[in-house]
Amino acid sequence: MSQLDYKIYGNDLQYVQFTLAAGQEVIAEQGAMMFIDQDIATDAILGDGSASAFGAIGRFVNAIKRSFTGESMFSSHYQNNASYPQRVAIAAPGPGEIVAINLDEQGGSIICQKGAYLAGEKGQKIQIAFQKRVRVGLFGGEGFIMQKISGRGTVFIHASGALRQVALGSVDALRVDTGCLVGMSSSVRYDIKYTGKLKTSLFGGEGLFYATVSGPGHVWMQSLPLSRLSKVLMTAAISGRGKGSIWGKLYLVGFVIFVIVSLFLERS
Amino acid sequence: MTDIQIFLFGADLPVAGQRAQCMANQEGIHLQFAQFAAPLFIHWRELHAKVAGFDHDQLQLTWQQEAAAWSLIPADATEQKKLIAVLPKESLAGFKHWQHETQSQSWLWKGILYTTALVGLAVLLLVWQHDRAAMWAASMVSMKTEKSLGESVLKSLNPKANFLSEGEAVKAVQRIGQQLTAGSRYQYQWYVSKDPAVNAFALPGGIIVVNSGLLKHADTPNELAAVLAHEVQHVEQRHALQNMMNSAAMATVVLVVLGDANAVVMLVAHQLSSQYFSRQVESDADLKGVQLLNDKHIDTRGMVSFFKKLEAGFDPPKEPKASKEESSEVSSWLSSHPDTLLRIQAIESFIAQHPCQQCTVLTWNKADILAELERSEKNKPTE
Repeated sequence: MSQLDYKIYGNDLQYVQFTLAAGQEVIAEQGAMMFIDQDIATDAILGDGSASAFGAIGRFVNAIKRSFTGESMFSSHYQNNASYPQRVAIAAPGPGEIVAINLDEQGGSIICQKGAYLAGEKGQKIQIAFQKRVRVGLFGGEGFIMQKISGRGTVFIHASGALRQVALGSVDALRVDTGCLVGMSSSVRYDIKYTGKLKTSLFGGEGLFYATVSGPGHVWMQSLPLSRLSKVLMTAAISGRGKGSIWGKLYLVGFVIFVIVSLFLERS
Repeated sequence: MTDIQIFLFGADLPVAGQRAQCMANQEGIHLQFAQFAAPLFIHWRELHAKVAGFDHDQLQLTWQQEAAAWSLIPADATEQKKLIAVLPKESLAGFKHWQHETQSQSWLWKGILYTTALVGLAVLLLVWQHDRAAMWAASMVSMKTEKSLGESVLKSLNPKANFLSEGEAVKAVQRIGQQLTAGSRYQYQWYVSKDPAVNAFALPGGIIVVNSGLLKHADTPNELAAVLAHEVQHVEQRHALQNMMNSAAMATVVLVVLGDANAVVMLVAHQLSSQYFSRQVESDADLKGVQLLNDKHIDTRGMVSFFKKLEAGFDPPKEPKASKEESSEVSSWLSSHPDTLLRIQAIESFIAQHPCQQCTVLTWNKADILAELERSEKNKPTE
């Protein structure tokens, strides 16, 4: 299969544009399409489109399992049926960055946080990666279920904030804020570590545990987890609503006083 | 010598590892790799075991070479087994810890699995045998608590104003009641209420209240004895407490299933559970009541004859004008004691199976009782 020709556009709100050669295909998350050229054939496929030993039922079960990893049960399939190159643009679902990962360079599979998958080549599988260490599942920030993307070729993952790849050597280890971890090679060990001091865990703002990732392999980290972003936005939304509303509150107090006074007036 | 497929990680190698092959024996690991001029030999002493991989079950062996950290990870689970079979389990640094880490994980999951299964089984057993569970829970309540429960209910009924305290009627009820409950662990209190409805009820802890309406309509003392036996069994079997336990359990189930429940849902659940429960309890009290009458050598036919009268509705020969009132009085018993016809059949078949040996027919002075009741009705404060 020929390499995917792609280019990522935008800074913080990105989209990836594929230029498909004749007959070339690409699979993308449902509902992520931005635009496609005229002669691109689109199709909705169950799960990741891969065959199952149990036939249609097996494919359906696989699609349900896939839905546990934060993806939808169906995905969109784009194929260039023309004899000349055609474009497909897939947009990220939120603010953040799109990163292309060549699975062949990662030993054939990577583990990502839920819903990280954006697009990829046909034949790539998205399966459940179950966190077998209970403490990591509970306090690691990613929950018990992550997604395992395996196959060949390039896969595109998306996460909010700046998304960066960090290489870990044989004995390297990183401490990461829980939640900032997006993905890792399957050889990387992901564990948690107590922050060490009561003072740090109470006032450090990082919670009781750090996530630790130890090599060898690659890890991908995001600068702004969606939970942190939504917290900031929520706080701003709540305090923003209060701005300039002091007259509104006074008006309410006036209304209450009016009701109370009217009660006394009726009695007399 | 065992050939093992591995991923090799080192200074100039790809971060995701390079597939290679090594040979392991008692002494150490022989590495043959294109990048090295000569085959490399690493003694087990130089190696250190670490847990690796997303599943926390891979074995990583690390060593230092030319001031760089190198490591290898078996290519898959079977290759890892081959490596573990060869390596010196006692002397390899970090291997004990590796075993502990990987095994404690599986133990933890097994523990979680078994505990969940056990709790699930216990819940299933409890749902399946909820009658017995309620009975057991009711039997754990102390007599003192039960008594104070009954007394608080009694207080709310205002016994001074509504109950007869002495006289022929109370004496008759007491006489028959004491005959029934001789040797019981409860200390019974007998009351006659001034209520004209044909009904009787028991409160937990041994308080039994008979309405004057029931006394009027009971033709023989055996009928009264039958009703008393029924109510006594409510007390002896702790039905009120069982009902409370059932309602509490129902509330728990509703809360667990719905997560949150408002007053309406709780009320409906309580109604349904108590309705279902009351049927069981009533027929239980009937049959055990007959048994009690048998044990005390009192003729058991009163139970059937009284219920039959209830089912038919009382014919009002003595008070012709009160027919309308009459029907509402009868329906009082029917509403609090459902399915009378079915119960009569059950009682009749029970009596047929357990015929009464040397049973006596009780006697009373009905005229005196009626006179007493008449008097009390006249003295009744105006409503």
